Amino acid sequence: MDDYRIQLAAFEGPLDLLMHLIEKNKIDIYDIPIAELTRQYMEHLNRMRELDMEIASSFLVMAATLLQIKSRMMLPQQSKEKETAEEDPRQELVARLLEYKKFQQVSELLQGQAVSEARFCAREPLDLPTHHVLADRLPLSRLLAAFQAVLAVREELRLPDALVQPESFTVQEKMSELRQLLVRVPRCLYFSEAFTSGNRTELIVTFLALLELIRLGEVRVLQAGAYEEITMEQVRGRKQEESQHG
Amino acid sequence: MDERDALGTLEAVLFAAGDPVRLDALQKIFAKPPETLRRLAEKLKERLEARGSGLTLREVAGGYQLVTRPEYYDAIEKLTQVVDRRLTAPTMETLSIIAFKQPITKAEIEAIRGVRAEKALARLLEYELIAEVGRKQAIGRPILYGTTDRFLQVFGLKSLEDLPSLPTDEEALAQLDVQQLSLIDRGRLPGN
Repeated sequence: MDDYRIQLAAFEGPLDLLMHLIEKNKIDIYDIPIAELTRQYMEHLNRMRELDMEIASSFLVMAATLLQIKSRMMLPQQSKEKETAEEDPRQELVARLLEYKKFQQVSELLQGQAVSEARFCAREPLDLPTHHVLADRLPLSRLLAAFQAVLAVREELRLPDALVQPESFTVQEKMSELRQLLVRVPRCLYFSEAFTSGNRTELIVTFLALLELIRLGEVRVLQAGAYEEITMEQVRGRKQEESQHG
Repeated sequence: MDERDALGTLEAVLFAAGDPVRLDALQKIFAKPPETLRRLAEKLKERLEARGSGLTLREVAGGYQLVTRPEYYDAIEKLTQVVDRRLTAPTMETLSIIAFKQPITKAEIEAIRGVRAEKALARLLEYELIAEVGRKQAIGRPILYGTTDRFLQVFGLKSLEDLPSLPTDEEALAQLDVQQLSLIDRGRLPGN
């Protein structure tokens, strides 16, 4: 009985169990004695139940499928012609079993490949110093140029002039919006991301808010290299520091 | 840049990169056509071999990578604690299904394996062998999974086309027979 328990536990799913039964009984997969296979399958489920094993619902679904195939096989064939037209009720199951087997096989092959490939060792990428020579504080002219680029894009999009009463934006509001944005985005915030919405006035107010945040030392702007997009990030605990942006 | 220089540069670049370097990245560095670079890589590989280097060039995941030669692995292994990160059979099967059928949803994987796939998927995502690659345009917009560059590296594949072909019906059945024989050999066939 103990032996049995171990075997039962080893089945990973209904297809695994079916495969085992087919192998054990040397069943021709293209001519499965469905009644016998169903009987053995149910017997296993009953054993599992006796042993108080939890039976995954997928096992029960397969049991239902087997029983359905079995009952369809027992239905009298109505006529010779119909018999040929109607497909073997076992066909779908066989196809599933075969596909399952194929993936089992190929996964063993891949496993072997991984084992031999693991014998090639590579270095971690060098932490190249160029990654660190970031322009910590950019000249104002650069920032302005980036801002103008944003404006130019807006221009191209030809946003219609405000049809609604223009909203008024305050630098204060925009500052807190930017702060929230910086908190929400885990990485650096791209320049263009901060300027996604609004008309000209709103964009300008947002830009002023950004300059103010830089002045207060809450935000730092970075550029990874020439022509790279400018990014911004929060400065933690350096609120008092003076900046020299222009 | 003469050839000697170019070989040295390539070796240095690959050493610094660690990860496989794609041909287009090399093109940016060398400003040379891909054909020339391919020949250069081949040359470097030969050169390393000729001087009995412990390193070799591996073509993997769409790029070139400088790696240690597998025959020295036993020595390298002694440097470190070996963690067996071999995947379990169910996880490995799930990965194979994704590799061959990508992009694929969880439900589609479960249909093939006949069991739930959460655990295997979580493990594979953790190892960065698979990633979410999009959403299927179907009810519930289920997540689609696909393999990563890391998958190609781990299995030593240049690209997905490099995957072994899926066994045919006959091959799948042939293996069944072999298993049956081995069962008989071991006298484990019960009841008859």
